[in-house]
Amino acid sequence: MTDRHGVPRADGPDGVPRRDVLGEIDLLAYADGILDTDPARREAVRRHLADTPEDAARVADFVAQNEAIRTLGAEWLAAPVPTRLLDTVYADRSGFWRRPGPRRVAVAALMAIAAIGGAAGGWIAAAGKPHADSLGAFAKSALLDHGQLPEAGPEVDRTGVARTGVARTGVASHGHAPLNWLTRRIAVRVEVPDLGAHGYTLVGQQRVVLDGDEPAVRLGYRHSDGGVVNIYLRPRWEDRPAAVMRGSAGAATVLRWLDGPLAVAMTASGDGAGAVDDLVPTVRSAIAGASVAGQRAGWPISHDALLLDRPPAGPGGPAGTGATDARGPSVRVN
Amino acid sequence: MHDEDDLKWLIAREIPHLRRYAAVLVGEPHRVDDLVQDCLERALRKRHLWRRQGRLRSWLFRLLYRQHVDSGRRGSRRREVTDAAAAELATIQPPRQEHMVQVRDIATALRRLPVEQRAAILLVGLDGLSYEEAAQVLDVPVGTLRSRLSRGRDALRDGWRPAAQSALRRVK
Repeated sequence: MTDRHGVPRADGPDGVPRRDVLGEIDLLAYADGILDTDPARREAVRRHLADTPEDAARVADFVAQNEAIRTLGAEWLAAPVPTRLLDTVYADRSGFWRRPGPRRVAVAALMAIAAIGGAAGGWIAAAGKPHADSLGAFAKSALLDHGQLPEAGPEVDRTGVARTGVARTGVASHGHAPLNWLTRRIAVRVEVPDLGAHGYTLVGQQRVVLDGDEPAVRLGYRHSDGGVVNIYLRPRWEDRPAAVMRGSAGAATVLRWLDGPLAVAMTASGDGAGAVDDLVPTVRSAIAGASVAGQRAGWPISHDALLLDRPPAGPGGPAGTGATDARGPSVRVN
Repeated sequence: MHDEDDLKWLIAREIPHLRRYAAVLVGEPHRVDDLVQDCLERALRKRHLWRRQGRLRSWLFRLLYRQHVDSGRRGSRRREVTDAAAAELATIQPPRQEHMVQVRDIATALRRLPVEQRAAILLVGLDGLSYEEAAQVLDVPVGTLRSRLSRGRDALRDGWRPAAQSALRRVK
């Protein structure tokens, strides 16, 4: 009796495995090195393979598959473990805030909810390096969410925005629950930055779901002149500097970047769109300040180091050049 | 209290293995740490369920695999993982040029397998679990594991062929 590969089945008519008959599991075990501790069985398989070129080729491919898969995963095993994962293990809730060292991540938000009407009309894409496409999709979702929010309505700051087709409010947004959720996710405390110097007042924070299933926190600020800006924060570790990239859709603008454990998208439209760049140094400085005080350091925090309104360039620079966002409806480099 | 600390220490030692397994299983590097973090949080919540006669790594792999499968069921809207994502996984590998094409292609071929077959292959081929351990992780009989290994590897052969020298050298 043989199986579909022509290898004799190892079980006899009574279902009891036969010691003298090789089965497919022997070929698999040979390829996986499991027979290394059973020299007699291994030698039996080796003889079988010597007489059966088809099986030999099959097993050889299995061995090569394992080798390629181990190569594929090698870098992950050698890579440093992200701090947030270690914190997840070692931090218990009762003692979380007693851990040494000030560790704060500040985030800002702002957005002008003037009508931007509809889908994205322009976009900067930054593929070509890992994660760029995902970050672009995140920012695009934020921009779409921004455009579909009710215009400067008071509900933005409280019980959540009604289903907009892009963002779904995950939990009630009273108090600091959304940011507390984010803090637990990244194991680094997130605080709302004070944007009062720019004329913006925080009007609410909400947990939303953007970009498929990815949860995020939306911070909404309102300017004294009625303009509003939103910042979307999503846990996403990237332990290297990342430039600020710009995209646009109609009258709306989005800036996006990575900072340690956070992916950030900041959207604005109307009067707020022109001022959104001015907020970036404040937000990034706050985040980088937390990094220096805590466990992360070395990210570009000066405004000169930020890349605004131009494509990335040069080795070691921001992610990607010239590639398109596979998920964006149209691509335009501003 | 000391037991708690020791268990956390043991779990932390497994994080690199969890990240590697998650990276190749999911095929999307940007999702790896989120998945691992979810797994770690679940492991800590459920740590009373870990029976110490088993390997901690196997238990964590089981949690991670279930987490991944469950998230896939919940996320029917989740985007299709593209070949580009698999290529992305390959691009973060060491710069061994002679292997880059092979590594990229195996990543792509893996992505095309059903997750059950991919998980089985990775547990054995990547992490070196015994068949018994791998079957326990996947909560299937050993015969089912064998079947998944066999079908998955034959499917991989259809989409990926190794460099002849490498394969022959290893079999001899």
